[in-house]
Amino acid sequence: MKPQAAKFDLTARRAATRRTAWIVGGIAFAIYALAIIEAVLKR
Amino acid sequence: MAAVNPAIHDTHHDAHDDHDHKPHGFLHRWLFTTNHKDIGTLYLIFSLTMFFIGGSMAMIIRAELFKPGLQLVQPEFFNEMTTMHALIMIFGAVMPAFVGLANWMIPLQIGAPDMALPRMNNWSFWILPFAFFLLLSEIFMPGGGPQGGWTMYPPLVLEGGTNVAFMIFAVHLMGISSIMGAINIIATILNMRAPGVDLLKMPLFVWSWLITAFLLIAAMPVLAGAVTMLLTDKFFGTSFFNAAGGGDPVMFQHIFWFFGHPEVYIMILPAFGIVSEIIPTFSRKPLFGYQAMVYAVASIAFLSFIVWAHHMFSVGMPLGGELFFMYATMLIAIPTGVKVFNWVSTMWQGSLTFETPMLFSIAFVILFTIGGFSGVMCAIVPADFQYQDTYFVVAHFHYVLVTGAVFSIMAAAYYWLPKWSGNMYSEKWGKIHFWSSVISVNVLFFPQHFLGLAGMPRRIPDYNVAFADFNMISSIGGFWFGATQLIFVGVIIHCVYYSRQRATMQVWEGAKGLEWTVPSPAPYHTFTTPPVLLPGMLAHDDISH
Repeated sequence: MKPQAAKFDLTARRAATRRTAWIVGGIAFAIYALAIIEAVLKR
Repeated sequence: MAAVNPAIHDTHHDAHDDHDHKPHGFLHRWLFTTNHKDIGTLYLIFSLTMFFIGGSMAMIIRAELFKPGLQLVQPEFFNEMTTMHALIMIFGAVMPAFVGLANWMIPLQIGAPDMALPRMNNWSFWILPFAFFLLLSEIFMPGGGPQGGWTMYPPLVLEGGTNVAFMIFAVHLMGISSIMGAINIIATILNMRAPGVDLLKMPLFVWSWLITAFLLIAAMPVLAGAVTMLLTDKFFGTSFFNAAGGGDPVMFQHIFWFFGHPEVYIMILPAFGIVSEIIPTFSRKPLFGYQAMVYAVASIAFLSFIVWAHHMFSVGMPLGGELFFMYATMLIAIPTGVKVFNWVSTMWQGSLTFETPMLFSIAFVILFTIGGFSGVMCAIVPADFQYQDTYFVVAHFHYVLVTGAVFSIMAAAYYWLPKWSGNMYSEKWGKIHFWSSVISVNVLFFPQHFLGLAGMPRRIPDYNVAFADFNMISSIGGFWFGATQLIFVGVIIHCVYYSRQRATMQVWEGAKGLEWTVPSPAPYHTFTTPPVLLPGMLAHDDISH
């Protein structure tokens, strides 16, 4: 079992959480753009 | 051990502190809330409301189809009802219900104090009422609401007036809400798990939601792209899907179904997770094949992206394409079969009891499998040319979505209601709700298979007299099923406000997992200090079985 943290250190996790959110959100936006670019190229 | 003791001390200290700290005032509590439990409750109430609005539209559809001929509504209004019923049930009822369950349960199941991005969580929810206000307001506009079906195929859908703009804006808002919800769920599960809750020790509900969230991230932007192009075609003179301007309407169908098929799995994977929680509890056995279940969900999610054209076999595509999509679709039966086998094996030689959540889960396994079988039938290209756009398809996806997704949501509501409210619901009325639902839903949808095989097209307000008998039976089942859901509301209201039977911490004898280690009702703040994991506390601590 991993060592037990006394408290959730939200500050320490904030950077990782934000990084995850930006990466996942960025992927979503890239897919949105790709869908339209693909349709433009298919024309 | 010395390292653990302070944590235990902190847990007690926090438990005392936790007692409430609820914001005072109705608006402050509900409008500005960042608490995952409050937001979960908001999602669930919203979803139930939409379930009844969408259900009322289904009642109008079934009333019109009770007899051949036009009885109650004009064909245009009938088409509005079929379109709106689908949009509301998919985006307003089923998806928000699962997001509500995710909000409530994921932090509790992984030992996190809240969702990773609580303010975005608030925003994800509060976008939805505005989206559906926009969508529903179209019914009262000149020209009425959209009539081209939830699939929004051009050029038909572009025949609409201002409602096209409203519908597209509403769909964009729903998409933004879903994407923000998915970002939050991924960030929470990847970053907020309590120490010791490894990925392969997470409850199946959390796993199924992690995978569903990735599906949302990959699928919803594609829908957004498709409807953005519809918008520019309609109002800004582009010709993405307009053949007269060099565009291609079939391309819309490809783009739409690239979103649409994963969307189907977005509505069923969390259901798999729920059933995988409930069946072990009431079988008093660990889930059979935990890792196989995780990999099966992941396989289904992957396959969902390479089968989209089975929705459009009859549109016309190269033979190689039809064969590819046929075989790829049939492949999905393998991981799905693994899941059904594992649920049955979990029950095998278990010490079974049949409380309402278990009854809904067993009905799910049987009836969802029927929907799966008719799905394999639809996957066969030459047969699908016969089934395309008939009531057989309507029967198929209602077995998947009503007796699949909706039944699992009801199972989840009964399963976790004591944890949410602190009270036990009425088992007697829960069982009446179940038996009435399970009989009526089959009276409603099973005859639709026969109607479809006999050639009755979907999305029509009138039909040949040859289809009269089965339509009447189906409508009677529809009214019965609709009325039965009032019992569900009654059971919930009674449980929350009037039940005198208090729920224990564990609630169910066979329940395992972190959510059952907090009091019932769950305090406003939980796990501000990470839980100390003791052997056997997690349902999947030892996955060697």
